[in-house]
Amino acid sequence: MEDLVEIHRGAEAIIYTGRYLGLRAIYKYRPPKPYRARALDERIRRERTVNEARVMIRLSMLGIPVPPILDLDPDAGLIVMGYIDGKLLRDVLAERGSFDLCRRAGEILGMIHMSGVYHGDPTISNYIVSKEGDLWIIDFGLSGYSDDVEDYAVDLHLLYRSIETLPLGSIEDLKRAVAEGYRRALGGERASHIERRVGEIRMRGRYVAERRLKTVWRR
Amino acid sequence: MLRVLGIESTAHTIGVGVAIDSSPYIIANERSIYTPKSGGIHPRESSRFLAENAPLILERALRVAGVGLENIDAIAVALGPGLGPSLRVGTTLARALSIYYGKPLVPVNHAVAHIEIGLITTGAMDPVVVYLSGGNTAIIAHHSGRYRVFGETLDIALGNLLDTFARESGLGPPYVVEGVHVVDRCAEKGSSIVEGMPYIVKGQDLSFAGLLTASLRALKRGETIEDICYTLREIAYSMVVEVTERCVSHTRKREILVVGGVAASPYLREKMEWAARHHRAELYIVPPEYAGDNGAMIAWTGLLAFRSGVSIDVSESYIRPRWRVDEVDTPWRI
Repeated sequence: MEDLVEIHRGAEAIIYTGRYLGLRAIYKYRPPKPYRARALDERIRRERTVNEARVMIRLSMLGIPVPPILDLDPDAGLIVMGYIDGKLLRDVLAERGSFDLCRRAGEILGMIHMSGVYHGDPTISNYIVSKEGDLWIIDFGLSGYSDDVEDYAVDLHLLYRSIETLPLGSIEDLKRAVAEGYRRALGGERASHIERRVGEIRMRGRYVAERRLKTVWRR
Repeated sequence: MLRVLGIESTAHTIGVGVAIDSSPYIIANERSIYTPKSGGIHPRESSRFLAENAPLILERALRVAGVGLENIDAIAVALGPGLGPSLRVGTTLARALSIYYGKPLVPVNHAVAHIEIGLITTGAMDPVVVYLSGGNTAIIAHHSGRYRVFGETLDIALGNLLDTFARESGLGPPYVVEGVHVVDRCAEKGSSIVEGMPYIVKGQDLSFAGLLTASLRALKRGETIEDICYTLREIAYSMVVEVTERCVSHTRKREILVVGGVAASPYLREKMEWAARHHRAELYIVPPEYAGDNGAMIAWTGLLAFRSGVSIDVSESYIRPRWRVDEVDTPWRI
């Protein structure tokens, strides 16, 4: 754990780079939040740390491009994982909207959903384009296991919404590329089912003009 | 000098305010609030109350401001979002005044108004806005010409959660006593976290519906109401602070502004203060008299809009019950 350098201070965790057994590594540390009641805070930090590592290990074993877990200390709220050298997908897309990368982002999300996992925050700031040009997905802090269409649809909704914040004119095309990749991983029928729910989630947001006040029947 | 009269009637408050374009900016802010004897807001009963009280409140506002309608430059009205029957009361009044006195009619979005009154009364410049009320829970930041929703509730609002739990458990109504919510008050006597109450943050969005259900179940199960209130409060407020933190760290803004009817909670303030300090941001909370729905915020926002050339033809002034904050262009704030 020597020579940790803080590289990012997020809302929930602080990210350090350092070495672990000689390997270049990321230390993800969830500090206590003094504004939360202590019992609640401990519960949340521990739950999220264990959960995050567990999900990542499972996805790694299935060959999905997530950083490898190297070490874990739930009570300290610490995870050590392999370092991915690259740029945020967000920054790459802002420079040049790439359909291939969007397609791959959708595909990776689809693969994650195929394994019964939802990510919880799959925005384009949580994908990394490595130096080799491969796409990786990170930050499973809000992920979990589920077979509920709703959880998958929220994921896809969040990915779309993050693309919508790009300062580009080709937003709709990029979203279509995501949908293509997603479909490729999940198969048309399941993907359509989830896409429909994404539409519903959008409508459900308060004060959406198109929302109709009718019952939506679900299967 | 520019003088704008503003009318608010989106839910349970009929408010009339008068704003001017120089300090002190607000020269009248009168209102009357419908409070049901039991249960929640019944739209029909609420709108009847608003209609009955509107003339009186209008008169009072003009008297306090010391101006006649002939000296007003424009009539601003909240066209939405809100309850249809309630909205119709304020807009009907506004249209009538606009036609009779020949004054331009200015459409105002209720949520934008909550934000603008927060900015002018606190002096915040470009904050992350935390908008908390009975019907809204949203984290908002201004970006390229509009207020953008960074995160919001996926189901019920924070105020809705607190009120519904209070009602179902017999703590209310009334829901707010001496400026403190009855759930907050009850939580003061609680001390331990009840198991099994969900803390749901999905990305930048929040969900409170499961927390409400779990709280009511815990009550049936025989947990003490004090501990349930304590857990409910801790979880709900922590969720809001967490999402706010996310937005601050994402947008790198240096200010946090809390607006809306639930802004006044001292417990929420305490938690927000920590988050603000931690991110080296300044915390601003809208003063209590402008926290709940009021006419002054409509007048002030109407003034900003009118000054930027915004007005609407009476024949086009339909109510907009689902008008989102991010659909409104803000030409007065680039």
